Order: sequence, then C-alpha cells, then structure tokens
Amino acid sequence: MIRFFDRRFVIVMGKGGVGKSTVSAAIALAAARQGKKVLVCELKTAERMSRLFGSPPVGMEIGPVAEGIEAVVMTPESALREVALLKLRLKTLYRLTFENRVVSDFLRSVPGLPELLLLGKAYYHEQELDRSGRPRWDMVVVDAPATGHGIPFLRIPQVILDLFGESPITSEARQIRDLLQDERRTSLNLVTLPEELPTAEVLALKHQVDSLLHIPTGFLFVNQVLLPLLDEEQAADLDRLRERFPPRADARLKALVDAGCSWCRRMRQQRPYIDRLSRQGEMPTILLPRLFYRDFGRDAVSDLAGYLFRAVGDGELRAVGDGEAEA
Amino acid sequence: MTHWLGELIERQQVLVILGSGGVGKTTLAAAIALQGALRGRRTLVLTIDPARRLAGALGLEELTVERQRVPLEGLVPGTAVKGELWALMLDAPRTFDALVARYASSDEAKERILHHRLYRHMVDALAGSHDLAALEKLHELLDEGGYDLVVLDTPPKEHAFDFLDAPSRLLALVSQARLGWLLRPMAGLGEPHRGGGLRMLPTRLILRTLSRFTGADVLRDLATLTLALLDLSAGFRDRVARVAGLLQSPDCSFLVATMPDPFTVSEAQGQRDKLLGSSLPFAGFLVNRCQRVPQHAPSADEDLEQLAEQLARQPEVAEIVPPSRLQPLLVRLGQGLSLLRELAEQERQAIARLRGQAEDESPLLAIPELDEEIHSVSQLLRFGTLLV
Repeated sequence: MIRFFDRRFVIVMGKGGVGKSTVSAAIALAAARQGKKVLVCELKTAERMSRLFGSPPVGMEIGPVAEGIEAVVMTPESALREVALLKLRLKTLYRLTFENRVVSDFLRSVPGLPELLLLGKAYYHEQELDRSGRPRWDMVVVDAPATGHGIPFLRIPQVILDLFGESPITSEARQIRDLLQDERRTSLNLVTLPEELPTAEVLALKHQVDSLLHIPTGFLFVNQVLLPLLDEEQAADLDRLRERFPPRADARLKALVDAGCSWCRRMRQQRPYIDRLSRQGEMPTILLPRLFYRDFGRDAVSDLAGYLFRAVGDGELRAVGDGEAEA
Repeated sequence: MTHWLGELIERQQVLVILGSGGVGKTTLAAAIALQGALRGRRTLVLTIDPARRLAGALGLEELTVERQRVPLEGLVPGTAVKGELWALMLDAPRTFDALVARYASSDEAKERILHHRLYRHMVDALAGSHDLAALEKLHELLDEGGYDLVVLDTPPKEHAFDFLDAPSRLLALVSQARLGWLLRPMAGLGEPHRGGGLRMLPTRLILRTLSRFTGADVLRDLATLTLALLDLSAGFRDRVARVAGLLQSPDCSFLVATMPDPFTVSEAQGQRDKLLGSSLPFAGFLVNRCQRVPQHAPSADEDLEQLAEQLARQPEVAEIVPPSRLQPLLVRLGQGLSLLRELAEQERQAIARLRGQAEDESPLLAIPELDEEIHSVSQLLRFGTLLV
C-alpha cells in the first residue's frame, strides 16, 4: 500500500464550515516538512491558503505561500480560459467563442462542465513536468468545494461519460476518472465535525464513495475535537463541586467552575459522534484538536500539521486525541 | 426592552436567513419562527436541509414537504400560546418541476422539458436553481395567504451572488433574445446546412469551436433543452419579477447568519455587500456560536496560582474538595479559561470588523455557543430567548 504522503493527488472534501482549508493546509505543511514540493488547489472558494500561512495573496496565478508550498485559486472561468487557450492556439478564436457572454453563460449551464474543468486543471498540475522532465510537484492537494449541493463533485467525470457522446470532453473525463480511481496516486480524504449534520453527511458521502465512485480513500479527519481539560480525578472533583456548590461562594470561583463544566459538557456532546464516526466510517480516523489561537495562522497550522503527522505515522491507524489539552 | 430582532419578528412578513454552510441557519430560522408564534403570530418556517434532530426539536416525527403544525401547548407554563407555528421542508427538484409545469405553454411543451435526458442534471448543476425553488415556494406560501410571518431558511452559500443572482441568471438563460441565435443552429447541428450566408459565419465558427470541445451531440442536446425552456419564458419572467418585488418590499428583511471566525466573517461581509448592492433590505448580522467568557472570570494578568490558593482555602469549598486537590484543579480551570479568552478575543476582533465603522454600523447580535445540541421545543425556546 502506498503511504499517505506518497500519494500525489490528495483530495480534501467535506461539508461547508468543517475546516477543509485548515486540514488542507496542515497536510501541505506536513508534506513540505518531509521535503516534498506541494501545490494546494483551492477550488471555488475565496483565497484561504495565503491567509492561513500569512503570506501575500496568490490569486489565480500559482504562487508561494510557504517554503515548499505553492497555492492557486481556481474558478471554472479561469480553468476554461487556460484549457481553451491551450487547445485552441488562436487567441482571436478563443475570444470570439469563450469570451462571448452568451456562450459563457451557456457553458456554465452544461451539467458538470464547470466542475470538470476544475478537476481537469488540478489533474493537469498533477501531471505537469518541469524543464528537466521531473514532476513539477510531489503532491497536489485539492481543497474541494463544499459538498451538499449540486451534483456531487467527484461524480462529475462519470456523469459526463454517461451523458455525453465521444468528444474531447469525454476523453478528458475518462482520464480524470482513471486518475481518481488510481490508488497509487489518489487519496480521497474526508473532513467532518463531531456534530450531527456533518457526521451524517460524511457517512453518507463515504458510502457513496465506496459504492459508486470507487475512489481510494485516505483518512477521515474529525476537526475541532475538544481534548480533556482535566484528568479523571479532577473531573470527579469538579462534578462534586458543581453539585454542592455553596450559594454564597466567591463569584470568581463560580466563573471557574462554570467554565470547566461547560468544557466537560461540550466534550461529552462530541463523544457519541466521534464513536459513531470511528465505528461506521470504515476509514482510519484522525482526531484533530480544537486549537485556541487568537490569530489562526501559521503557528496554528504548524500545530495541526504536527498532530496530523504523528497520527498518520507510517500510514498506520493511530488516532490522536488521547492526550490532554495544552494550555 | 425591545431588541431590533424582536421588533423584526413582531413586524415583518418575511424574514430571510442567508449565510455560509455550518453556521446554524436552520436552527436560527426555527428559533426565530418560534418567537414569532409566541408573539401571537401565525408563523411558518421553511427549512432547507434540516437535521433529523430539528424535527425532534419541533416535536415532529420528521419534517416533510407538507406543512405540519408544531405543538406548543404547555410550552410556556401558565400561558396559552396565542400564535401558531408551522414547519415544512423544501423539496427543490419537485418545486422546480412544478414551476415548469405551471409555466409551460402546453402539456407537450412541459413533457419535452421534464423528460429531456439532460433536464434533471441541468437543474442539479445550475447554480441557483435550488435558490429559485426556495423563492418560488415562498411566493406560493404567501399567495396561499394566512401567515403573519414566514421565516425562510436558505441553501448554504458562501457566495451571496448565487442566491440573489439566481432568478436573473436563469432568466437570462431562458431569455429569447439572448440565446436564440446560438441555440437554433446548435439544435440543427449535424443536419444539412440551412442557409444563413455571411451573417452566420461567426456563429458557425463559434459552434464549430465549441463542438471541438464538447462534441456535437452534447451541444445539440443542450440546445434542444434550452430551446424547450425558452417556452417558459413569458410567464416565468413575470413570476421572477414578482418574487424579486416581494424581496424588495418593506415587509421583508434579510438577516445574514455567520460565525465569528475570520473566514466566515469575510463571507458574511460579502453577503451583506451583495444585498446592499442589489437594493435588498439587509437588517443585520446574527453571529452564532460565540465564546462566552463568564462575567467574573479572573483577568488575564491575574496570578492564577495565588488566586487558586486563596479560593481553595475558603471553608465552604474546602469541605467539598480538599485544598490540596482543589488548588491545582482551579489552576487547571483557569488555564482552560485563558484558552477560551484567546478565542473570545479573536471573535471580538472579527465581530468589530463585521459591525463596521460608526456611520454604516450594522446591527449585530452575538449569540453564544450552546454546550448541548437542541433536542426539544423548550430548548429551542430557551435558545430563542437569547436572540431577543
């Protein structure tokens, strides 16, 4: 089996708001620290990598965000422009066709075409060689669009193959589908939160991935996991204190006890979902802790990358989350 | 004290909740609607993508496309709730199909669309069709009449332009003038050339170029579907205009739901700007899942060890947990609190950005993150009281 960090096409998927971008950044940093050259493709989102790494924005041209890590924001329009210019050598012809407002509106309505273009551009970079004939990047991380609406992103190549007759688009779709299903090159990773909706959705997504898509999976990342603040004895003491709390005790004491109980309650709230994900996810699960940084930037990503790297290890199944919260 | 949101709930006919994914829109919509019912109004909440738990929180088996009444008896002890709360879930594809059925000029035209090979996919793929279905449903419900307040949950959208552009983009797509010149030749692709002469040259060039990409079959299929959709355009355009008018009326208000982290806040700002740019009535931000630092929490520069020592020695607590254990416990709790404080500070900055400068300061409500998920109507009620 190919190690997680040796797979070249690492896709990160999940519902909106679960933390795909932070996980993508952490994967990229963990890989870069092993000496790999990484490209992060941000699909259809506002630019985030540069903000997370504290570097100048990169926009739609590939640019560096950290040592060993480059990023690019991709939109269907920019992908279409590049593909069209590549294939249609004449700029005038391109302008006549693709920059025609009506035509571009129409193209946007072609089911799956915008998404295919995005996948195609990411795929192109996975294949890309530098001047000496070596792969330009060792890893392409795809921060995928939020799941939950529209045609499921990764179904697009197959949908196109089912719907359209033989054409350049279908042959492109076929190549992309083959890359997606190649377990030597691709890993599909899912991100979720230990809450109701994200958990339900990620389990449904996993089922679909296995039964329909046959895309090799990597890890299931559970984000924002609250690590225990207290050990067992302390937790028991806190409980006792809460139960028998003296009515006229110092307000500051009450504040401390309340905050502690709140933490414990939230942790307990998460537990059933974490268990369910580990049991039903049928994927090695990695718990990523909730971090408490005033500015969630380079340092926070670095922390996460550390957790991630230790958890992934040699590709063995080890779940982080048994340690205590670090203050 | 009347709060700005409370006033909206009492006065408005339509409240639309916009926002990015994962912020808690649907729960907010339900809580707001419940507040409407408590104020004696006949309220309906239209949900998108609701969790199973929300159905339970509304005292229902499940949320369905048929409206159901939420039982409110005994919710407020000693008071009979005078209003009503109804809930339903949007089925976007079905609503869209109904739209087609309503505006097709004939049964035959309708069938040509609904049974077209690409119809289902096109509706799924078309950004904004789900949003349009939500608006269409809203229009239907208001036409039906009888509701004092409708609270509309919306599909999670990071980019506001999708929701608000949807009607006009779809309209543009099916608009006669814009596409006819392209579509008719496309639909005739593969058939013997039908005249046109020099004027047709650019079009033919475009078509040939496009078909180099997509293949002629695809273009032909898409063209026939879009041409069939053109059939809807007259009535559809009217409908879209009326829905747009509805959204711009003084009885409608838009709320942007968000979370206090920098990325989501940026999205919320974009959503607000888009509303203002489209002359739609933006009423304020709902910032959900905020950290709450307890009022009497020790301050950041306080000596934790010393404070813990002092507090642990107080006789009434020393008998519950011995000072030797209590002191380190309190230190630990203090450390946890300072972590929370870091987060709270980040959120404070994000909220300040959102609120904006003095003149165009936006109304904003910071809502605390709950320790536990909402499972019952009384929990939903308690959450709702945090809003007003």
